[in-house]
Amino acid sequence: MQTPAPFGYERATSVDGAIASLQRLGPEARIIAGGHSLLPMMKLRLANPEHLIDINDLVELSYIREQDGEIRIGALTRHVALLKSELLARHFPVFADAETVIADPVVRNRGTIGGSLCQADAAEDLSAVCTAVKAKVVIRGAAGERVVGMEDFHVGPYQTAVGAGDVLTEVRLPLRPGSGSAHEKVERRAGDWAIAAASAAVWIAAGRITDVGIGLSAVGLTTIHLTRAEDLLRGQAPSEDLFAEAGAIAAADCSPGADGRGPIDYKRHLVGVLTHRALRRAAARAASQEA
Amino acid sequence: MTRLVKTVTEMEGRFEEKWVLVEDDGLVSWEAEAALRHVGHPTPRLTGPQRVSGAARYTVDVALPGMLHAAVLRSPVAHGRVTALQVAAAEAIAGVRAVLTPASELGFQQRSGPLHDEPLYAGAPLAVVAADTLAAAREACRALAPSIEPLPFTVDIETAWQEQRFDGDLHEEARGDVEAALAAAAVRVELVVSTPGQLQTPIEPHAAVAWWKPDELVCFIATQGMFDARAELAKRFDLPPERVRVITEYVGGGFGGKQNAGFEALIAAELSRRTGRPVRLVLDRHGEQLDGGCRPATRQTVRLGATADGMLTAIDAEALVEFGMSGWRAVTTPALTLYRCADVRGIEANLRLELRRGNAFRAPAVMEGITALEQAIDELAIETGLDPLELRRRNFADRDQSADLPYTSNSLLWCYDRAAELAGWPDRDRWREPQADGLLRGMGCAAQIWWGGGGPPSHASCRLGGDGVAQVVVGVQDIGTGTLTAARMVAAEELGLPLDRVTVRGGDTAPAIYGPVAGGSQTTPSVMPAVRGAAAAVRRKLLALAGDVFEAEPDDLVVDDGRIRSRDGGLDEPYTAVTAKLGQASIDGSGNRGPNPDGYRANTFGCQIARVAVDPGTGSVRVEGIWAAHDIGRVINPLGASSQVEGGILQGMAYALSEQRVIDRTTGVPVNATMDDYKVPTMMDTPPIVVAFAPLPDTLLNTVGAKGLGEPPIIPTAAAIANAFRHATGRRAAALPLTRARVLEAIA
Amino acid sequence: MKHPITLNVNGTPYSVDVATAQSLLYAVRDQLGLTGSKEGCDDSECGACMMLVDGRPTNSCSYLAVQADGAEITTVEGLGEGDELSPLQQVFLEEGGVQCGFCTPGMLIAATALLQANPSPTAEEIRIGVSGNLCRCTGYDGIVRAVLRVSREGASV
Repeated sequence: MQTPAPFGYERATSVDGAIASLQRLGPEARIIAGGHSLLPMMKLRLANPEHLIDINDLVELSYIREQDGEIRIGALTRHVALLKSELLARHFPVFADAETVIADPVVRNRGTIGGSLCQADAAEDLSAVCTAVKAKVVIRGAAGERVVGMEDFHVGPYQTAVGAGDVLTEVRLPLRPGSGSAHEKVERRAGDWAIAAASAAVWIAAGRITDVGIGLSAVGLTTIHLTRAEDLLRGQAPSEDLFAEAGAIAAADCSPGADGRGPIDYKRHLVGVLTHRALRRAAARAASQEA
Repeated sequence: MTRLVKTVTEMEGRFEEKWVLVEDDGLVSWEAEAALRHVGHPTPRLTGPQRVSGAARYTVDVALPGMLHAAVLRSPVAHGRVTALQVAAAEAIAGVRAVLTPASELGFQQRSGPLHDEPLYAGAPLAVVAADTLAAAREACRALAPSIEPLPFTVDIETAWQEQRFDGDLHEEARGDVEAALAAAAVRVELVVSTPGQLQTPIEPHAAVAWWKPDELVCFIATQGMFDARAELAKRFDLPPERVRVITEYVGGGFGGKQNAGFEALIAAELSRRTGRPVRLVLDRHGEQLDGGCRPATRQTVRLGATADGMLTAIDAEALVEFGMSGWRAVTTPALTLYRCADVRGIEANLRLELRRGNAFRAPAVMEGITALEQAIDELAIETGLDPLELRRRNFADRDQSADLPYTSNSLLWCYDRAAELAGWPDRDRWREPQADGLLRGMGCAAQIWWGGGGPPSHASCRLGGDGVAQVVVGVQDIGTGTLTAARMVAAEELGLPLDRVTVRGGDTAPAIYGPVAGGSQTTPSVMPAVRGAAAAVRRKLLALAGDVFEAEPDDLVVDDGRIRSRDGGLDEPYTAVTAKLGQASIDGSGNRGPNPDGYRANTFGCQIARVAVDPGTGSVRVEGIWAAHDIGRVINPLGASSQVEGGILQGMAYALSEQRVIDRTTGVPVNATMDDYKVPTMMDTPPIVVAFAPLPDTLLNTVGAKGLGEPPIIPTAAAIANAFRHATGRRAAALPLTRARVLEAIA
Repeated sequence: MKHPITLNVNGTPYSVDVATAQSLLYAVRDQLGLTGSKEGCDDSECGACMMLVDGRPTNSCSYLAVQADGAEITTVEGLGEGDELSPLQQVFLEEGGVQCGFCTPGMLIAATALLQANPSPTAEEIRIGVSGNLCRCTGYDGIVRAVLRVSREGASV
C-alpha cells in the first residue's frame, strides 16, 4: 500500500463549476464522489489524477423523484438512499435487492450511483441493474447536456460515454406498467464483490412479456447486456422452461475469466442459475403488480 | 522451600525434560465443589475501559519524540536475484535518514536475511527505509526500483512432491504393524483431503517501535512472547538481557503469528541504532498478508481399518505439508493419539517451496490433521452404518496412545454427550428431508485433542500496600485472551479481596518476572498457579501480621471480601486495620508454577457439531449453527472463555468456507494478499454458536485446576462443517475451503 | 500541496495543515495524536478506522482529510463523557464484545451510528448494520448481544 501521489484538490460548488474545473485542469483531473473505489486505486497508484474535484457538496445532485413518466435519480444519490427509497421499491425493487448486497452499510453511506456507473467496474452491481431497467443517463459537459441509454454507456473496460470534461448528473428510469425486476448475486462472503450477478426486469401485459432487460455483473470485461436472451423472451408467456432457456443463453453469452473468485465453467453455470432465478422473481413481482 | 527440580515441560506437543526453579507454595488445587467467589464467575476484562475508550496504547500507537517511520521494499517475484537497487535515488528523497539493503553491514547477527538479495518468496523483504514521515519512507522504497533477474520457482505441492523437495527428513512415527492390520480389517476407508493455506490476519499488523538509548534498548513490540523477544534482541545484538526492555501493553491479535522480536523489532532496533532516533516499523496490510505468516496448506491421505462394529484396528495417516515450520511435525499427531488403536502410523513430509514458510497459527498442524482424520472417521461411520458420535465413543482412548500414559483429566465422553444434547443430534436426519427453500441441510460432528497443560517456569509477584490494594505483576502480555483479568480473579480469590482492590500489571519485561510465550494454550495453566502462589504468600504474611495486631492465632484467621475474620466469628476487621500500619512498607510475595505431575499427560478435549445449508444451484454453503463442548479443566472466567471459543470457531469456519492463500501458479505470487480478497468472515456470515464446558477441574495438573483454551476451539470446526456438508449432500469435497465452485463440482 | 483545514473532533476544533493525499485517519492519529481509531487494512475493508463524519459512519482511511474540512467528527475517544463510558461502551465490556480491542473503536462507532438511526434493531439488523467491521477475536456474538442489550435498556447512545 502506498500513500497516493500528490494531487491538487478543490471542492465544487456547482455542477457547472465542476465542469469548468475539469475543462481548465485537463484530462488528469477527476471527479471524486464517495471515493471508495478511487482512493484505494490511488493508494495502489493504479490511478494517479493530478487534481481531484470533490462534488460531495452538490446536494442538488442528491434526489430520487418521479417526473415526466420517469424516476430520476441524482448522480450524487448514495447507495443507502437507493436502498431505502419507497419510490424505487414500488417501481424497481431490483435496486433494493442489489443495494442489500453491495459492500457494507458504511460503504453504502458514502458511495453514489454516479460514482458506481462512472467507475464502470464490470463487477459492480448497479451497472447491471441500470442495464436491466433500461435506464438513461444524463451527461453534462461544456457543450451542454445529452441523454445516453445504457446500451451506449459502456464503451470499454472501465470506460464510459462520460468524457474527460463531462459530469454524469442524473439517471432516468422510464416508467412503464406491468413491470417487475430482481437482482441475484453470489459472492464469496457477505459484502464482497460478485462472483457473478444477474439483474432482470420484465414488463408483462395480458400474460405476455412485452419487454425485458437483463444485465450481468462480473462475467466479462464490461457489464454484459444479454440481448439474445431478451429477444427470446420478448412476446412469450412467462414460464419456468422459458426462463431456464434464457439462463442457458446467459451461460453461453457471458465471457467470464478465471480468477480467485472461481473458474470459468463454474461462473457460466452460476450465470445460468442466477439469470433464471432473477427472471422468475421479476416475473412474480410483475404478476403481483398486475393483480 | 526453594528447589531445583527436573520436570517434563511441553509446548505444542514438543516435550522437554528440564530443570526448573520451584518454591513450594503448599497449595492444593481447588476442589470441584469449592465455593469460589470470583473464579468461575463471568467477569468483564480488567483493561476493558481502556480498550473501549481508545485509551489503550497498542504498539502502532506509540509515538516518541523525533521518531522515524520505516517502510519495507518487498520482492514482487517468488524467486529472483536482485541485480541493482537505486540506493542513491532513495537517499536523495527529502526526509530519508537510513536505507538498509542486503549489502548493509548490520549490527546484529542472523543466519539468513533479514534482507534478501535472492528472495525465495514473493513478499520477502529486500530493503528498508527510515524517514521523517511514512510517506517519504514509502516514496524512497519506490525509488529503490529493484532490478530483479527472475529465477525458477515451485509453488505447488504436487511438483515439489515429484521433485522430492523435502525440507528436512521425512518424519515417521508408528506403533504395531499398520499394513497388516489394514489388510486384515473387515472395513476399510481411504480419504484424500487437501487443506488450504490460511493467514493469521490479525487486525493489528506486526509492529515495533525501537529506541536505542545509550544505556538501554527499549522496544515496544506487538508480540505474544515479550521475554522471547527480549532474549532474541539481546542475543542478536550481543547485549546483556537486562539492558533490553520489551514493552507490550496491548496486542491487536496474534493467533500464533507474532512470536519473538520478529523482523520488525530487529530492523527497527537496527535503524534506531544507526540514526540515534526512535523508529517505528508497522507492516502495511499487504506486507502483513504476504509476510506475517501462515498455516501451510497440506495434502493428506488417511486410511482406516476397523471391525464390522466400528472398532478401529488400523490408522494410517500421511501428510504433505506446503513448507511448514522448520522441524515441526504434528499434522499426524491426532491420528496417533485421538483414538484407541494398536496399529498406527503417521508419516509427514515438509516440502520446500518458493512460498513464505509457515509459522504458528492457532493449533498449528493439529488442526490440519484433525480436519483430515475426522473426515475419515466420518466415512468410517457411514461405511459401518454407525452413528458418528457412537463410533467415536466406542474408540475412546482413556490413555495417551503414543506415550501410554494416563491423562490428568479427560472429559471427552462428556463433551460428546453435551454437544449432542445441545445440537439436537439424535434428530439430525430430519434436516435431510426436502426443505421448502430448496436448500440441502445436514449435521456433522468432529472431536478435538490438543495439549494445553502448561508448566514451569512461570512466575508472579504480589505486593499488598498500606491502602489494602494488591498489585500483581506477571511476565506475560495480554494478547486479547484476558490473561490479566484471569490473574486478577485468581489473586482476588486467594487474597479474599474484592476485584477492584487487585490490580495486575503485565506487558513489560522491566520487572524481570518471567512468564511464558502466549502460545500452545499454556498461558492460563502456567501463569495462574504462579499468581495464586504469590497471592497465597501475601495472605499468609498478612494473617501472621494480623495475629500480632489482634493477638490471635494466624491459623484461626481467614480473609474474605476485603476483611480479616476469625473462624469463630469473634473477629471481623477490614484489611486496612492491618495494612494501614505498614506505612510506606508493603507485604510482598512471589509465586511460581510447580512441576507437572510425573507419569501423566495433560491434554484438552472437545467436540463440535455443525449444521449447514447448501444451495445446490449456486454452491453457496451457510453454517446455520455450531454447538461446542470442550474440556479445559476449570474455567477461570466464563465470559472470556466463551468469547475465546466463539472466536476460534469463527476462524475454523473460515478455514472450511472462505479463507485461503491463493497463489498464481504462473507467477508464484499470492493474488489475494489484501483484506479485500482474503475473506475473513463478517458478522453476517457468522452463525449462532452455543458453548459448554465440562464441569471438571483438572486437580492433578496444577493448583487452579485449569487447562488452556487458546487452540482447542479452532481445531474441530472445519471437520465438523465438512462432515455436515457430507450429511447434507451425500458428497465430500476433496479440498477445503468449500468454495462455491468446489461445492458444485462435488455435488454434480 | 498543503491545505490548512479545521477538524472539529469530539467537540474541539483543531487547525492543521494537511497534504491533499493524506487520509482523515492519518490526520487524526498522527497529527492530532488521537490514536483510538486504528488502521487495519487501509482499504475500507475492516472498519477499524471508522469515525462519524457529520454523523455518518465513515472509513477514515479512505476519506481525505481535506474532505473533512469543517466537518464534525466523532472518534471513539468522544463516545463517553469524560472518564464516564457510554452505555454502549459499558455493555461491550459486560457482554464480552471486546477481546484484543483493536477493532473495538470502529465497532463502537458503527454500532453507535446504527442505534442512532434505528434505536431498536433486531439481531439480524445489527449483523447487517455492523457488517463493515471485521473482528478476528470474538466471533461477534458478544458484540451483537451488547448492541441488543443497549437498545433493550433504552439507554441513549
